[in-house]
Amino acid sequence: MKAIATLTLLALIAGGLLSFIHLLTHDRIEHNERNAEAQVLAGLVNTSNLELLREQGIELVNIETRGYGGTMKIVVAFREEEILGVRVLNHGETPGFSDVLKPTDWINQFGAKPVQEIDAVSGATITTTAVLRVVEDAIRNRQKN
Amino acid sequence: MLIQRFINGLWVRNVATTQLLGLCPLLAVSYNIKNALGLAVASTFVLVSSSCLVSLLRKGIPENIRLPCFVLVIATFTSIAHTVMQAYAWDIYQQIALFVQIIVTNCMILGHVESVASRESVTTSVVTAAGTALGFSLVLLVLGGIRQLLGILTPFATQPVGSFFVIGIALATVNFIRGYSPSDDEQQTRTDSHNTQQENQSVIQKI
Repeated sequence: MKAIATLTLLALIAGGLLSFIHLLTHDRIEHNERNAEAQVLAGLVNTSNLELLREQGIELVNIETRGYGGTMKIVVAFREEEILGVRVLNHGETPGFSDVLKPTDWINQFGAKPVQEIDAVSGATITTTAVLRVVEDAIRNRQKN
Repeated sequence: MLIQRFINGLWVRNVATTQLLGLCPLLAVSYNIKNALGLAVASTFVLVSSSCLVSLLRKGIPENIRLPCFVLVIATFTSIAHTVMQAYAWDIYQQIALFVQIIVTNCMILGHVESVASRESVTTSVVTAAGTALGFSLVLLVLGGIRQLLGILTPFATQPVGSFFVIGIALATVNFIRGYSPSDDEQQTRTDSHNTQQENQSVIQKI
């Protein structure tokens, strides 16, 4: 009985402490994340202002999907019907294996050639097939509308 | 006495070079000095604060559930370190987030909390923890520095494989400075088993 009481009390203290820290840092973390996302997008389009992008005929589609290690936030940029490019804003994939998601060779294939011709990467199969599936879905949705 | 404990943690019983604990994050992160510093600060914070809290609470924690309690305390401080880093050191966070999270499973910290903080006064625990943490940080920074410097000559040193070579040479150097040889271990074991035999005999006599 004493064991349960001690653990409960300790867990309550821990929870209280963590939510206090969360309150203190919440705004800054969100700010940091938004900055990082804007930086990733900067390599794809020249502004993150949606109005200005619309004038250029570009539309950004935000999609969330499950990867190997949690949720991935993916942005697909369309100009009319064709894909301009794909970027991954946020993910929880295993370090090292997630390097394919950085704005380099693999992810730059989107927009350069048809999605059907892009292969998954062995070793990062779940990660890359998840991205491929999401992009294909986005294209299908767009053709429907 | 306190100074002796501090030096013990820092050099004589250095976690990384003598006890070979906590090597996973150490090897993974020490490819440059900036990341090494990030992990050093986070580990020091977690080790010192959990030792302090556990030592404060040691009389209230029942013996049979002490491990869950320790892990809970360590996990709380690890989450704090992780969150604060996310807010105020975003660049480093991007690179070493995973290794800050696994501080929670670092046997160096649980070992210290179990063997020191749960038995001794707050001052002793905190001083010993500070010595241990500083010893760990020192190894991290030295390794980070060496690997970053060697990395200028050859990228090999900054890759995961390179870390094994660098730590191997570093351990050999430390043992050389201490004048340690493997036969010390054998002698130690022999005296240990000798003691155990004596203890066994006295137990038998008591029975």
